[in-house]
Amino acid sequence: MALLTEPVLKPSVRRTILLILALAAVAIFGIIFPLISDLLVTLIICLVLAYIIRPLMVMMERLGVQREVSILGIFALAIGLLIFALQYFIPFLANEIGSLLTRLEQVNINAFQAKMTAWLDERFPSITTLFGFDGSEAEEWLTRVRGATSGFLEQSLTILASAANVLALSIVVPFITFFILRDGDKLHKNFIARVPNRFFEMAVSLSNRIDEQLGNYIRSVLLESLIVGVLVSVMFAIVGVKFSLVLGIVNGLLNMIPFFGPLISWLPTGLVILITYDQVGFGMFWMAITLISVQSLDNVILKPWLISKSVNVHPAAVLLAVLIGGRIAGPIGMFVAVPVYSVLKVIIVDFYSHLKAYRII
Amino acid sequence: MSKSTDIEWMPLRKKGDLSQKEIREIFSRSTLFGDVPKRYWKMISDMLHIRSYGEGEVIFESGTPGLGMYVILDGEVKILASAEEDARELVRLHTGDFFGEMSLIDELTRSATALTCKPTLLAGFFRPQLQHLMHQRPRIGVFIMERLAKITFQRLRMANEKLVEYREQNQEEAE
Repeated sequence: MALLTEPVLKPSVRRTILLILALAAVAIFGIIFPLISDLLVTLIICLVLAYIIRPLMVMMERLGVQREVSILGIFALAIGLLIFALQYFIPFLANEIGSLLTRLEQVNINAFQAKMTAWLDERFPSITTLFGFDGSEAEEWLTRVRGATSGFLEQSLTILASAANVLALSIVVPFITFFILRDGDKLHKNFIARVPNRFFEMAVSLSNRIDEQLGNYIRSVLLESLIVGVLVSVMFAIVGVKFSLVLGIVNGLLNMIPFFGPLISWLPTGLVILITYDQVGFGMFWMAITLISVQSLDNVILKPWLISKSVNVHPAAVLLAVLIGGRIAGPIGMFVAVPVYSVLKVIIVDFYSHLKAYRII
Repeated sequence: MSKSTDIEWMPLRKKGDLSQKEIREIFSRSTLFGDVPKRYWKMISDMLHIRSYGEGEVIFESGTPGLGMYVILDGEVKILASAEEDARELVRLHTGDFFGEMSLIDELTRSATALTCKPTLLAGFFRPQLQHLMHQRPRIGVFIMERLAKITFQRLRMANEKLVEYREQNQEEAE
């Protein structure tokens, strides 16, 4: 029986068009991204901020406060917090990072290697002979790592410097964020008004769903990282590990990379404890307890509670995204890669399922 | 009947074609929005999507995801039992009538197809907007939900009465 509306495209044509579109999207993204990366970075920052602020704005509107007043009130609060942070928190953090870097600079790699070998020999007498653990190449390796790291960091800094003239950003970002928050609904409605009738309901449903998913995802990832960071920091502070705040921040940030982030976090954490903590054995034991318990808590409670299953990503995809992100924008790219990939995945999966459900393909 | 497979870019009616006051008047005649207090109207009207449809255009069809309801601002719409070309017509609706309201609550697929009989102007009100309203202005949200519940129970009562009628009719015929 003939239906009133047939899919717009026949299956064979649909598959070909989808393939061409996918390839075109990759090509366009590859060509356009480097050209407009500054603008994109600014826009992403504004969108993330808007998604963070919006629930607060809605809450204030619910209490009868006008939208513009709500946004300006939240901005004022944020500026207040920023000033507080600049005055108290940032100098403390900068001081901690500075002294940690000085401490790392002062490390005599050979003495450290000798200390490590002695420590290992004492506990596992055969291990150094078994693996041929010889420290003669350690210096060379360290130089290589330093070289690679500085190049890698430089890449990020270049992107940051070109993308974010701090002064310009500090004016542009609040300005754009304000208008996204104030006129977002109108912009959305105007966009929907231009969609043909055939796709109208699908466009309303899809845009609302993507908006909801994006908002939830961004807020959840940030909240999850914050909780992980605070827990790690507190756990290390309890036993008097130096630089516990920096370790908390590093663990919180690395937690944004699924699967690999929590694993990688063992490395810098272990290194800091080895260098700075007096009782190395107990420090390592406490680190294992802390990281295992926090990561278990994250996987068993936080992730299922906060993050929707629809943004589950495959480990291979995570690895690939992190590598591509690292290639494009250095360490910053590595952190941003998985959230960006997850967001794109949600958009593409939802878009496809809507096209099917509304019998458009 | 023209198939709606062709993508038509319908020009939206300009604001002047139907004023907010006229839209408000049409809405006030419906049982769902009839007695919405005036102070809430601005918020609801901001959430409406005004759409213009040509003759014989499909508004939604059975089996597709249900998203919300429409109020006919001007024109005529027929509701069909299915999405097939020779589907049985269930009802014909006119200016001021509304349809698709059950999709405001459940997330099931549409049970019928809506088709315009002549050029029609509609106001769409959808589930995400209702949810937003419930969250942001619970009082108006509850107000609309209450009316939705009343309409649902009225229809349930009518369906029960019809069922009883049919049973009695069947029994009489069997005897």
